[in-house]
Amino acid sequence: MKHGKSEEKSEYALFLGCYIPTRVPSMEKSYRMVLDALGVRLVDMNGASCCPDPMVVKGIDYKSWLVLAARNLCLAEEMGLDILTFCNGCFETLKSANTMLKGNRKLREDVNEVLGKVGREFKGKIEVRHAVEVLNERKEELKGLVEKPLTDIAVAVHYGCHLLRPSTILNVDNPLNPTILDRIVEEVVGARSVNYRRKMWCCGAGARMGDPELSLRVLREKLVGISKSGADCIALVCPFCHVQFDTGQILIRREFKEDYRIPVLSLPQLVGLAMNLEPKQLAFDLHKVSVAPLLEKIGGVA
Amino acid sequence: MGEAKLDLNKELLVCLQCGECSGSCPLFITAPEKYNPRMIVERYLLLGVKPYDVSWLCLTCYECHERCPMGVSITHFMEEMRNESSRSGYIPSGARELAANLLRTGMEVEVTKMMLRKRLALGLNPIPAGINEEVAKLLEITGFKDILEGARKK
Repeated sequence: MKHGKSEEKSEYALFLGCYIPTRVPSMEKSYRMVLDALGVRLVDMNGASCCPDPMVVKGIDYKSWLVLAARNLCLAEEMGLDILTFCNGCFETLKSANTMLKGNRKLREDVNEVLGKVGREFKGKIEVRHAVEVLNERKEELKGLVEKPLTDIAVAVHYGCHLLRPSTILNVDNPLNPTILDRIVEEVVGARSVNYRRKMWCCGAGARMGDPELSLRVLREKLVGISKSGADCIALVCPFCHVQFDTGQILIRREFKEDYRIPVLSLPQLVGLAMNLEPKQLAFDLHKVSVAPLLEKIGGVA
Repeated sequence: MGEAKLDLNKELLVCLQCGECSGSCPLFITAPEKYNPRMIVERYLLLGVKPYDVSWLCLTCYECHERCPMGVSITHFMEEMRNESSRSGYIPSGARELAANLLRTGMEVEVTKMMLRKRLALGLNPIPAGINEEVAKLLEITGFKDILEGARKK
């Protein structure tokens, strides 16, 4: 573990981003409920912009990407709080920008020259964390909140690239053979984390813009592996992966005439079920692929 | 500036053409005819072919970046090619749309009225829509606005 008890904090500036609140609010709701139960206080960041995303905006102009990321970091510095994010994309952008700006004076001066024109300055006073890191370091407390371990459930974990890579900057876990999510699923939720073919592959969401058909073919490779593993559901931590797996299964049914129907849960939803939170509160009705088969199986566990 | 601004020839010249990048690339394994990172680097180094179009396909999954025995980052190479592609006037329409949203509202993805209702039903806050002058000003200073307008005209 990279973060010991002494570093544990219970208050964060919540960087919500633009994709979770507008496309996957079930992820936001379930994270808020689980973190609230752990006593973690989240303070909304007023005036935050898009992180901005590490594919489109960084692809169009690197400097613009870095300047806007630095501005968001400044807002949290002004609040005097570390940033917590639920999204892999926001995590990669903000942690990369924060790390590079802290470590490179020339870069920091270039960026501060621009930020100075709107009266801001990057000082490098805060850290950026993914909510998964907080769940992981509070695993023992989280276990104490579990009322209904999901012992009969097999889970296919999907990490999402930008939780782990580039590893020299993100430094969360082994970039090619991680265990952080598997261990939360097994040790906290009480379910079984299955191995499956293409487990460490990207979900393919990144190619959606350039070649939607190719993007679905990458997803299909993963779904074939998950389907063969006998998993009852997929558990993930990135909103882009969530939409790719959830909406993507509907598109694959249409395009490839293959019907997978594997429920797609964000990790906090799965933890929430084990905590015996109401499924309605966890917003499963917003999902495209029905979660009902999983809920029925859990209901039978009692 | 920074990581994505590579001295490309210096960075890429150490490439051994071993193919570890292609062997670890989900796009190559799924559709080798569409995306072959090893060959993209070969064509860039030997023939000077800049992969503007195909750079937008890269998943940015960083598998090749993590595995390259020579420490070449094809992910960063593709980012640099996207930057050049944008400045030369080509940004895929989907990316252009998101960038235009960012310029107009400070957010790439906007909240629909239906989603706003769903949020309220879940007890979540409404999202402050339509920020933010400061972001627009920064994007003008960095040249983002000009790049985007240049690409729209082409």
